[in-house]
Amino acid sequence: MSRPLLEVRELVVSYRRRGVARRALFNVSLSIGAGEAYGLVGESGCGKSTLALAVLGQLPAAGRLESGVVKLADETLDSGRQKHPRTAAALVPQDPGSALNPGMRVGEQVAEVYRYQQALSWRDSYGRALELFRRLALQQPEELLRRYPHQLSGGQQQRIAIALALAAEPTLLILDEPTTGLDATVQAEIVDLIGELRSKMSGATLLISHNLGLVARLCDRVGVLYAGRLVEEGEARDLFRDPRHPYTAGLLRALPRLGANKRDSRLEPIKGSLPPLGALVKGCVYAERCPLVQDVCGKVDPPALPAGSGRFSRCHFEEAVPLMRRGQSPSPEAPAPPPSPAVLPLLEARQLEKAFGSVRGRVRAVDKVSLVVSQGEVLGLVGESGSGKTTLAKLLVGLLEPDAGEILLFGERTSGRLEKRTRASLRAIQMVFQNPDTTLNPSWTVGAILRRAIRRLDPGRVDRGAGAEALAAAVQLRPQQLRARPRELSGGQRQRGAIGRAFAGSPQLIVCDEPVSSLDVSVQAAILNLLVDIQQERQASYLFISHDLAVVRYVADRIAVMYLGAVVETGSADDVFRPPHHPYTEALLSSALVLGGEPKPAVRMRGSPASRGATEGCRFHPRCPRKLGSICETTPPPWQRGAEGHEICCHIPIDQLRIQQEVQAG
Amino acid sequence: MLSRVELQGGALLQDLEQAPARGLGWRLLATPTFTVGALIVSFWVLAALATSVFPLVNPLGVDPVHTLAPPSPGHWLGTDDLGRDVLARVLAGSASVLSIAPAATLLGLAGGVTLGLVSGYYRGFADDLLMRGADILMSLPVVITAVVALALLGSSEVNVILVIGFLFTPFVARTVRSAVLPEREREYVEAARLRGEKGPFVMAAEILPNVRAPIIVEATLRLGYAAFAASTLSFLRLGVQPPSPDWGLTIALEQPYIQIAPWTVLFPALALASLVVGVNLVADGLSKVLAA
Repeated sequence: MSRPLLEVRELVVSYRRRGVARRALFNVSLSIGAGEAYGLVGESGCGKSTLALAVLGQLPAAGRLESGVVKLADETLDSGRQKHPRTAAALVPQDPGSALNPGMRVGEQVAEVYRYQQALSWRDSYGRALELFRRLALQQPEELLRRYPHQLSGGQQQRIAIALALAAEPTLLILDEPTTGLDATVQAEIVDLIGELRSKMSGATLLISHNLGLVARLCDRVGVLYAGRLVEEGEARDLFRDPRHPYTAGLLRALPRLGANKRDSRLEPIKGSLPPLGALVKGCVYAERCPLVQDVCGKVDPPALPAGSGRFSRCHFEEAVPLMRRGQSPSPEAPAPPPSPAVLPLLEARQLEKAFGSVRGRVRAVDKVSLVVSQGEVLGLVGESGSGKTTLAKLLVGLLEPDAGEILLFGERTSGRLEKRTRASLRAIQMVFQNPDTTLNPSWTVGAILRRAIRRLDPGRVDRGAGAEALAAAVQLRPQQLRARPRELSGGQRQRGAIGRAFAGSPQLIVCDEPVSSLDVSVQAAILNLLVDIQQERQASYLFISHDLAVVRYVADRIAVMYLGAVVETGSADDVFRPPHHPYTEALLSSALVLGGEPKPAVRMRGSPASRGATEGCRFHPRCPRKLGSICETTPPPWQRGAEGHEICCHIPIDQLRIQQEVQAG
Repeated sequence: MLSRVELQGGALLQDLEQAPARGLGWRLLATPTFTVGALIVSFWVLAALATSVFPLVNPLGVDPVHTLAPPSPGHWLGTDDLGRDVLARVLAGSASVLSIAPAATLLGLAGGVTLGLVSGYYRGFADDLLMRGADILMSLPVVITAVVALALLGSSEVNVILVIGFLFTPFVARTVRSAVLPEREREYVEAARLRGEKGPFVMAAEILPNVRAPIIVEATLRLGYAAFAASTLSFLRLGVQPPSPDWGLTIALEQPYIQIAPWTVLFPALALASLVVGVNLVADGLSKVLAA
């Protein structure tokens, strides 16, 4: 490694909360060399962003650099000089929308940096901004200079935020979760961009992310942060292939691999939860969650033990980590039988339509969608944001009223309006929501929420207290937690409560709208396991919405792919995930960040879904990487049948799609 | 560079986890504005209770010999034009304000919370209608409208309460509505609708508990305005009638003697000001703590 550009030594940072100092970082040391990309991974609350802010010299008012040094270029920060804005580092924040001034044209925002920092003239500063936009492969850069942030898509905003950071010509570029709020396809573009910038930049990059795939793709070295301690560090490739700290190993195993399915593997959540901020633990901080724990772990805090070249692990038994037993797999109970195909249709949507009015015209959020959910099956619904997944879900449950089309429950028409549905059809369909912070009423205890749900959805039941306890047990909440209010519970526990509420009246269909996307990896695994178990136990069906392909692949039996309000492909999960695909599905799959294995040649779409789909012909043609020609612009594509139940809405003959895509996949 | 043993003696550092989150009451008492305001308000509440239970000096006791006497050991704050003790009257005068203002506030709160919930939850036509109605009412100056209304209805304590409560309803409704709007979009409301809950239940049991904080702050602010409005109306002789020691009324009746016996007007005026300031301090403290 060349001379380190950034050196962090024994950094201790604490936050004062209600008069008590709580440590967020415990003696963290790391260094990043020139031209190097360092990835920092860990779940939320581990101190990743705190480290970034400390390096930037911009800790919030409650934060304090207690001891240690941060050396960047020629500047040094320590406890005496800690809040000092520095120019040697620049941050690309998580939410580009909040990084950009909404009242200022983006060109001016970038040019301003040049004028302020390099005292360039107005004309020169704009010239430099334009040059930078070109370097970032922004389309129509001249026009873009004059746009306001709200006129840009999320991906474009993130590019501008990166431009803003690069305009300061930092020696260290810090990217804090740069793709978290973005769709998989846009994320892939940003990843390509960062990768390309890396090769041109002489400075260093610090990438902070909870997304292990992203870090694996972009970084040379990786540090794993747990509860404010750097528990493992090493070359990215070695570390992800052969983790030497049980936490790293646990994170990797909790992730559903792309291609894994609930029938052949079970996810392995990490037991327990992150210690609260500032907790002082005797011995190893990970001991209480560690499968390798022994007596010594509770007594002695493990030192950084070398684990191969350029690596260390803060684990007494780092050599045993590769031998760590897989939790329960191969699963002790026999794998669930594959769902019997083509059973009774439970819910059927026919030609559903919903448009939202706006000043400039109506946007068709759901455009003549028909789909069937059978009894006992999990139908996965994937697509980018804005494809109408959530609108479709709300139409099916009745939270929104369709403009046209009909919904059939057990073959009988049911009203599009929730208020007009019968008790029985209300009971039949329930929903699990995305946001664990708002899914439960903050003023109610979990027990009261469950009892009320039983009262409304299972009126025959008299002993609602016992019923609530049974529900809590089914979702693995402790009986004492029935007395807790949502804010006393973690995100995962709240989501368990919400799942319990949905199952209060033995529903036939649960619509799960991104139920795990706000959760950390280890919690996500536990909630997914719970959803899979409870579904199989109670023979319910799911409509499972997610933007995370690996998650959908894991839970779904059948998958429907949506693009701009319409379904473009349906089929069994296996069929959708192997060629032939709809070109849109292909692009989605290609943009997923996969851990392990070399990245495949990418299929990238042009533009963004914000450029609304075509009004004539195939709605995907403006972005389609496999567009045939004028036929795509004029004629709506036909549905083509592939394997049993597999249908693709495309002009390209299905066999030709298969050949092209198999060649592409190598 | 990193192969170094970190030692963390648990004994060296205090256990940080054990600091419990302090309750709402403690946090309020730690807020100076709240504490000072609460002291002022409780003083007047005690005064009102004490004087109505044990009146040491009769606030209505006329002493024709000592009229308009300046403050003295016998009459700490002097006497008025009929020789009544000003201190006794100021203390007793809090009773009428402290019964009219809270009653009017409660009335305005009842109406405003109901309308705000309905308006914010159902949106649509009902919302438009209610809010345009509120706009009209809010565009009228409170005191002038109250004067006209009391002139038509006749002046009495009950009418003052009704008129002030009615005029405050749109203000409360606006606040409640704006707090309800984000709540109704939350997923727990959708979950309630999915289990077939009716609108009134969703509003009263699901949403109302989560908009408590802005309602409490608004109620306290309204209490201050109500005290002021009630006193203004008695000053205009449209509320409480003589011989009540009500502050507004006293200020109006003693006004002719302000040149020769300023204490007859000054002390009731100071009393009213301190009560309004006290209530506003409480509101300020509440909003600070509840917003945190």
